[in-house]
Amino acid sequence: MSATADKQQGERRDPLMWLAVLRGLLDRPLASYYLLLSSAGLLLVIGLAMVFSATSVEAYIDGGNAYATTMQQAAAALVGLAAFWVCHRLPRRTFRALAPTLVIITLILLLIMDGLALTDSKQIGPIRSETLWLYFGPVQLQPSELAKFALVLWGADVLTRKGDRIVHWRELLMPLFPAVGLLFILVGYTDLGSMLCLIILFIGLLWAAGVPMRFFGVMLGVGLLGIAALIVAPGKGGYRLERFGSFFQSDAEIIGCKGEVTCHQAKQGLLAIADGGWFGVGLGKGVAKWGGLPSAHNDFIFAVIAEELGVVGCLVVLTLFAVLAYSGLRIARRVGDPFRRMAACAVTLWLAGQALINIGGVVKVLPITGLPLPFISDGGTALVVTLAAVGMLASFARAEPQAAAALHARPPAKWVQLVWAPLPPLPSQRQKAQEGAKL
Amino acid sequence: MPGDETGRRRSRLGDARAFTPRGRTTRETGAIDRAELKSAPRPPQPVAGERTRRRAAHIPAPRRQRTVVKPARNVAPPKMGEPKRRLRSATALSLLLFAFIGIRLVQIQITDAPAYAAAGLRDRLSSTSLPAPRGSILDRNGEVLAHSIEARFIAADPVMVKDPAATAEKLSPLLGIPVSTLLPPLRKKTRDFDGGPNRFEYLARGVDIKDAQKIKELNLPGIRVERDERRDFPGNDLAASLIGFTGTDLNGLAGLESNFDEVLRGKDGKVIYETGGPDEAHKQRIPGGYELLTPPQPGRSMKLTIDRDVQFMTQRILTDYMRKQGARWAAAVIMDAKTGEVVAQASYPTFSSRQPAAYPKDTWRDVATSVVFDPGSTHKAIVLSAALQEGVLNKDSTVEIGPSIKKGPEVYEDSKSFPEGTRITLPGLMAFSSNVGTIKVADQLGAAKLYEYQQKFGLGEATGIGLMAEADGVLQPPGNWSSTSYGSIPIGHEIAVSPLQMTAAYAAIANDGMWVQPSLVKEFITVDGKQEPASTPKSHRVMSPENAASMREIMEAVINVKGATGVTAKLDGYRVCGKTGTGQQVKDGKYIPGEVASFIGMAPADQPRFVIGVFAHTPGGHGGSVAGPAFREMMGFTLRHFAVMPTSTKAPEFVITA
Repeated sequence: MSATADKQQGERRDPLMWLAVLRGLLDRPLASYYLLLSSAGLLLVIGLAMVFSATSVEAYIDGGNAYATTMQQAAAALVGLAAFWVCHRLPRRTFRALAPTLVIITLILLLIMDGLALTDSKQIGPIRSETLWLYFGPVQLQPSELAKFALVLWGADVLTRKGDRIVHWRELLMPLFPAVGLLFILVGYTDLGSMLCLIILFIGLLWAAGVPMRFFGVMLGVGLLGIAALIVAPGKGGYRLERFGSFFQSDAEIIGCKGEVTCHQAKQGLLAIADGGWFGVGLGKGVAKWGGLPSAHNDFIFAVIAEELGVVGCLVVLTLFAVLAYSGLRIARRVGDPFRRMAACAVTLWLAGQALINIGGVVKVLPITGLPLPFISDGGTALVVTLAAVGMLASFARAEPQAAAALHARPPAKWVQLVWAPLPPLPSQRQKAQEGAKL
Repeated sequence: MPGDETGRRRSRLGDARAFTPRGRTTRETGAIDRAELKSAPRPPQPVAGERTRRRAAHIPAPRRQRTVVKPARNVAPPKMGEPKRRLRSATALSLLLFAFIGIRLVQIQITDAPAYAAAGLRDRLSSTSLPAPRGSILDRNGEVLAHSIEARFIAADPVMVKDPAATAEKLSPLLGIPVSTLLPPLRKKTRDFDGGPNRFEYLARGVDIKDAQKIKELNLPGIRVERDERRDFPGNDLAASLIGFTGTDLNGLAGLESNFDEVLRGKDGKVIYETGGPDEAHKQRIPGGYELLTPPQPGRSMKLTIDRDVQFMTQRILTDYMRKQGARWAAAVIMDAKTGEVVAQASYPTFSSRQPAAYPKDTWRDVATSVVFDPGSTHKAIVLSAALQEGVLNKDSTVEIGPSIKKGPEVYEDSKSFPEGTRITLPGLMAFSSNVGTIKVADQLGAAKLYEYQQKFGLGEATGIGLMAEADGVLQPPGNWSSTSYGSIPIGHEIAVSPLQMTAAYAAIANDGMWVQPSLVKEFITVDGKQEPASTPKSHRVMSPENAASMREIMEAVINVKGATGVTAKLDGYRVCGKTGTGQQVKDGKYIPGEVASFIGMAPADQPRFVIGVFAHTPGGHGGSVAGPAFREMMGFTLRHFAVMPTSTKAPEFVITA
């Protein structure tokens, strides 16, 4: 209609036309679903390419096969896609039903990991613990990644059940806080980064649940104190403190670093970014991964992207994460029921927060914490769990009232429903009434 | 406007939903209802003025909580955050943070990124020297006298060596070096210059590639096997005194290797390239990384005038004879009469270029250019040549001689005495090497002229053949002559010459009176096969071709006259001419015991092709007996080797006395 109007007015173009087009596109009922799938899919593909680029040298030196690590990651991606597919199909009540079991399993795994780490041999039978990893024979697992997903489900479930009662301290604290506290301690014992991620996720849950503001004030204070304590705690904490130390140095000071452990990684990251320039040296042509940049394949993979694909490539990745964050929170905003809202918000803030902390550490706007970059960093468990979470988000996206209505109005073929996903539930009459009241 | 649109669309779809049974399954609605029932009924959310109302409710809330908990539920405190607004603010915050990181990325690039990148590159650069292969030394036919072959060196990084004793034991049989020698360099040491740990120590150089491969396969920690170059001398001691030898870094230390080091060495290249990380495993060249290549310029090869076979036989003959004679030193020089090219130049005693250290240092010298001595009677040919050329004599002149002549306090006698007043022909004078006759001829010639001809014949000045430490010899200008000099100098005393100078002087007689600078280097050959001739030898005329021919004829008497001094040099089938000499060597201002016997000759006498000088310092013995036979053998081999036709004519009959 507007096109004909344009013609009638003699080729006059509205300079803000694209904005209207964009708004129109975003108003489509399945917009969040497609935004989510495309951003996550592209990140996954970019991630696999970058893992290959970043690990090929290392893998070749270690075992003579440049594809070794990449194949593992690709296998993890396949498992992750399967997890995505499953979570994408599951109804909400299954997520809620599984939540307590998942939390208990996670707690047991974490206890085994930390318990074994305390023993001398770090091994009992086929089970072996190694820093963040738990090995069951040939299968390796990172319980802290599992903890994130478990906390999302369980937290959202508990808070949904509590409903409005969470405005009271006692209702809010029990049983959520003891369990979450235990989770924090077990994860944070070996992995401060993942614990930070859990905190963000938990805040996301509470935020979406509508917990009153003053609770956040109190929690902020407690959280900062806890982090400070962990940083200055003895043992491994010392190293962490040194890395935080480099955060307060200027770029020039870091570049002048002479290989001290405090600033080496930060320096190599900056060098890689500087080397990449605007358009990068070209995929696969980077030099940072030749042993110069520590953790080039996981924590600092963004530096490898910066070197090989330049600022342009980095902005593409950042944009994809931003789109993911936008669509995730959009889903949280649009889904009617509180469980989906909280879970979607928590998952999105977890992924976005982890990406921000990781990238922020690389570009030196945040201290280096040792968190992998979601979708992109090398690491099987993280990828599987992330894709499972995205699958859940995708199922929520289909359950947005408008999306569900649209899908029901024009349902896809039966076999598509079988192979891809069943039709989402329609919102109940009451919800509809609520929506209507709000509007 | 958009709000209206969405509202309209929703209601339309809502209508559609009414016809879709799945939209209202009891399961779904039931679940939602359960969840909703558990929580307290939610109060309708206020749309406007919500914020102020929430603020107002803020203060009394805890008080209420503390006093009455249960009823508070029913009161439904309005403190809950509004989810949509909260989620919107969360969206804004996360997008803002992503944008902030994007800005930071741009900021890094627009500040100092190129400088940082350059600093990073500097950290990653390594360089490797690309050694320029050293040129070869070839004989006149291109046969190898000295060349470089690829080899490996074995070195140790003592810091990385795990068990020095075990390592030494494994290496010892492969390197052929005793464990006791290998062990000290394998042990950890501190460097002298900075006190740091020593990271490099050679264990063996120039190891065969095959052996080095075996060592590499042992995979010993801290043992490095890398490219090396080894100088090989296929002839062992062949022309060793000319070629010299090189040090461990293939730097020329003696002989031509040293003198032409710049030519042979070339210029090492260098490649600067990017390598991986700090540890050894990553310290590899990064493909497609930064690279700056300065290609090496290979050294040029040298083609000598030496003939390998002639050199070999000359050395063998010289060594055989001189060992028998008990010579302290000896030398033989074979020159091409026409070109001045040295075909062979042998020294005795000599050494092996492969292991110079196994021989005493004084064997390393080239006798023919570095030793000077009083030539003795061989000098008489120079006196006669000068006299002929200056017209003092002609070839048929006779000289009146007697048994002796007195010059100053010194009396000079002939070894074969003739009665006072005998007139001797020039062939006779040479055949019996008459001192008296030569002194009388020199008297007629005059000191100045003799000095001039000595210089013209190339005495008193290094020939510039291309060897280091070539001696100039000593000539006496007429102003320095004492009264005895008039007797001593004509017969080859009070002056000092080198074997090469004397041979070159005779070569002037052989070359129809033209003196040609002796040469050893024919041409330089670049690595791509381009030939650059060495500098053209200097030459000048000393005497007329006729006089030179006369001199050669006169000197034939030395070999052919019965009882003459040089009969031992007679060679069947060829006409030979030459002159014996018995001189002495001065050391530290005094004559040392023993005599320098010499024979310098040429063949064929009518059209000389080669000039050979043989010189030896022996305990006693004259030129004819010591040097003559060696000369004969060398000349015989050389003529046959170069396929010189035997002389068809015979030597003339000589008249000795008039």
